[in-house]
Amino acid sequence: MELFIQYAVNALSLGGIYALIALGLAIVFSIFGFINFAHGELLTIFGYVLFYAMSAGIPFIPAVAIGLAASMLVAMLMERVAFRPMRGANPMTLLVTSFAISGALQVIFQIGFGAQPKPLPMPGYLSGAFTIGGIYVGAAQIISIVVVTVLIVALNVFLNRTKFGLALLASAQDFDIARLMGIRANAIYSVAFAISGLLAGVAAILWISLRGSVDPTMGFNPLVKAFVATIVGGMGSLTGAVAGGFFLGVMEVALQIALPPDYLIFRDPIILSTLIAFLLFRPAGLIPAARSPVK
Amino acid sequence: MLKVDNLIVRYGPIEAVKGISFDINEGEIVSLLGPNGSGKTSTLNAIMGLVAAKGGSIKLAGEDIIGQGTAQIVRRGMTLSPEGRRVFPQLSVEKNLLLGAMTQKDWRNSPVLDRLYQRFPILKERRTQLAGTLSGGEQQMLAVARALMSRPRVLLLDEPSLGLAPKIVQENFDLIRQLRTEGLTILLVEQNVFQSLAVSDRVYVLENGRIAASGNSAEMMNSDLVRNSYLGIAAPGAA
Repeated sequence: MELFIQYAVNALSLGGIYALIALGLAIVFSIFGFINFAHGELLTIFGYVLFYAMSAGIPFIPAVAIGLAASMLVAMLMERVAFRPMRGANPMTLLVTSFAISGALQVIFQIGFGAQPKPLPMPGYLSGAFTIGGIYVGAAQIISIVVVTVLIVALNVFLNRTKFGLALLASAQDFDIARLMGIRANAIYSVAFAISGLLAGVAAILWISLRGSVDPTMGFNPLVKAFVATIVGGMGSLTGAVAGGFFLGVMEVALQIALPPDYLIFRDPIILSTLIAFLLFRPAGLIPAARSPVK
Repeated sequence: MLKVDNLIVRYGPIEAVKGISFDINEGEIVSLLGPNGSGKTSTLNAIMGLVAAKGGSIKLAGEDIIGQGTAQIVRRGMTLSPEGRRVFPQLSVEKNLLLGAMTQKDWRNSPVLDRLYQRFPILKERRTQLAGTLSGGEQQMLAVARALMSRPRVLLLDEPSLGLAPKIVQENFDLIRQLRTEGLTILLVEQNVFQSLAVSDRVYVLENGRIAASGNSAEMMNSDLVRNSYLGIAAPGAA
């Protein structure tokens, strides 16, 4: 029983990270109709900014705030510089653009910061562990579960109770008509990317607390998992992205336990096969997004 | 109130609207008639700034509005109830209405909302329901109510009775008459030629992106062009 709860905590905390990244992808997808493959680089940017801020002697919490501001800013810049000029282009074109941004940023990181991983030790309260009733849990995992829950609730409140949130929901359902309501398209584009940047930054803190270092390609692996999560959950559906993220977290931890050590290398191939199975048999995902209105 | 001069709309190489001019006086109902593909919806979308006009001028109450952006045009007091209703299907009825008032400072507690709920009790009854679950007639009602939330002076209606039952269509035209008595200026695009001639003061007939005829609705009802093309010998089942 204790062991089961321990695994459940692991699955929830890992799934929560995937859910945050998938949410960021889904928010952009719901409005623009493409998956932003440069989203992973937002995690990396957060990591480097945090690393250099802490190296400069800034304490952890303010350094995290600076990092979050940076990942939001870079996300908004991406939209302004690369995606906005392509407005109205085929989503496939935007997708390829996002690959290009991702590749370019990875090279810039390598040249600027070196290919070697930079160790980024987390403060004691994030890297420590404690036991509750005989169950051993990492502080990072508990914090991760709490942060993900708070963020998802906050996002929900933002989307349903604020003007910008409502405008964002409407834009995701029917962009032309949202403009007809007097919603300014540019503002929506910026806000959507800013939120995806914020979610990427928060996911990055939790991701880095699991791995303990920053390197130029660190964003790639979680991005692929989150991409699978958005497909499994249902492209463009925010609830689906969260469900897909947790689904993936549970699956990964379950495979980790179930597979004999020699076969552990098959963990990710099995996960990607699930993706193919979903695409074949349930392409709309677990919780399909609203069907786009007939134009 | 609204004056369109030599308007051109182009989609790539295709010219959908080829330099049309028309005007609507304050308090008037003007119908835009014409077969599918004649450029009616493109004209409305260009007036609202949803598609870019490639030439010409559009003046609302004497001020040029081309290139101002849809949000600004809505703020200036003109809005559109779009073809096919286009309510936000996954949002509640009330949120759809609130979105209509988004250009207003008091969008959250708009006094217009209470008035609209009195006028359309069914929307009040269904306020928490998702708009996608409403019937076609109710969605049309919601689309018009959503447009009215922005307190327009000029209302553009694109095919408000498309695909609706005859009884609902009648209610729609009654509503249009009512709105006029409240001082609204209306540009109506309709497939239902007879009804729109009956409700409007003047009419413009579009064909292939050009104005083929125009005049007073009562006169047009007797004109050969309209009688032959729309009222008289139209093939059975033709829209």
